[in-house]
Amino acid sequence: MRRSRVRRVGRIGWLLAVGLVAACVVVPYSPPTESSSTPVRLEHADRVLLTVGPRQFLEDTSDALRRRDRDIEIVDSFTFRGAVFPEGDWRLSRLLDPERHALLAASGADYLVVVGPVLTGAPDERGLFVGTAYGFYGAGTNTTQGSALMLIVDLARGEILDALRTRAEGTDVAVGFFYGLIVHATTESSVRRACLDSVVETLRRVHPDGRLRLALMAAEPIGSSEYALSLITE
Amino acid sequence: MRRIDGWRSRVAVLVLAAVGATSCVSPPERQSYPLYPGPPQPLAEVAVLRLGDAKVARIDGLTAAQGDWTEVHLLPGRHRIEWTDRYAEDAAAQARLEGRDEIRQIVVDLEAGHTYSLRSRHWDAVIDETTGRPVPALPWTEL
Repeated sequence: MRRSRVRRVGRIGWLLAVGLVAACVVVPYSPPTESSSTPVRLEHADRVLLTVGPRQFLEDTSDALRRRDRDIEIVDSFTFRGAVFPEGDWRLSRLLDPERHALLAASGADYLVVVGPVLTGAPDERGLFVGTAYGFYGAGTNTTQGSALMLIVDLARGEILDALRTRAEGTDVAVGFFYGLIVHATTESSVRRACLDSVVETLRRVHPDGRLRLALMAAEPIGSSEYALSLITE
Repeated sequence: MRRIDGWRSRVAVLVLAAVGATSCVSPPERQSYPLYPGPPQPLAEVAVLRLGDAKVARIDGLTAAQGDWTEVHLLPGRHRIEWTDRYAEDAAAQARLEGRDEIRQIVVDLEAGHTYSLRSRHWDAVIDETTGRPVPALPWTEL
């Protein structure tokens, strides 16, 4: 009885020691990002639906924008949607219809930001890195590309102000021989941050001072599995 | 090992029961997604579609996910609903929760004042909770 308890304590001690000694250190880094304007082709604007469906995503974007600029005010998405699409038919082409300029100007917002998600490509994996109960072994890299697209509509003019595309390529590097070291590229969050930075920069370039009222919406494609905003950009 | 006996065990059970009964369990916040134009309508004027078993559903071309919304409010009438369902080959596979993912696409007529919910692994995909009856599915049509 006593011997089995000693053996159990010994086993737990050994596992704890392995856990403490065989450590893995993760070092995150932000890969360089590149943001630029991208041309817009509005001939497919009737295939893009504007939506407030991704509620949490839009709320997070709203918080992130306000953290960047305290003079940014986000208008209620449903109120905005009701003001600019009083009869439904939430297509981008309807929003940009010249007959609607009066509605857009009276919507309570200065700009509409159509927020796209960060899209990541398939990772390119090389090498072999494994984590076991007895440590980390091998070496490997994992390269991922990320991109995001956002559209800014000037509601006073009823036209697109800019379409911003941000890209980044990040490589995770992992090496291990009992101890592990992982250098992790935060590609997705870097793209997201850079894209939001470029949105604020673009808006402040045309509207340098004072309060900025923004409406936020997302986009969905009609009859397509493509990413909605890629339907109207090059 | 010492055994807890008699009144001590009874007190322990009572204390646990009291703690369990008084603990605060808040229901998940209800988030309603109005998928109709104009101002909010009273519940008697709209059809309420609970996402139920569907993690993500596309209703009339617009996506609603469980993390964002618990129910969608629609004007009465015909609606197109798509979602990914788990399809089982037979009853035994269904009981073992085995199956493959299948995109379900249905068109249904929904009535004002009724509450509906989407169901997984059921032949009748939409149930009218107000009447307890399944809702007949019409042939799928593209937008």
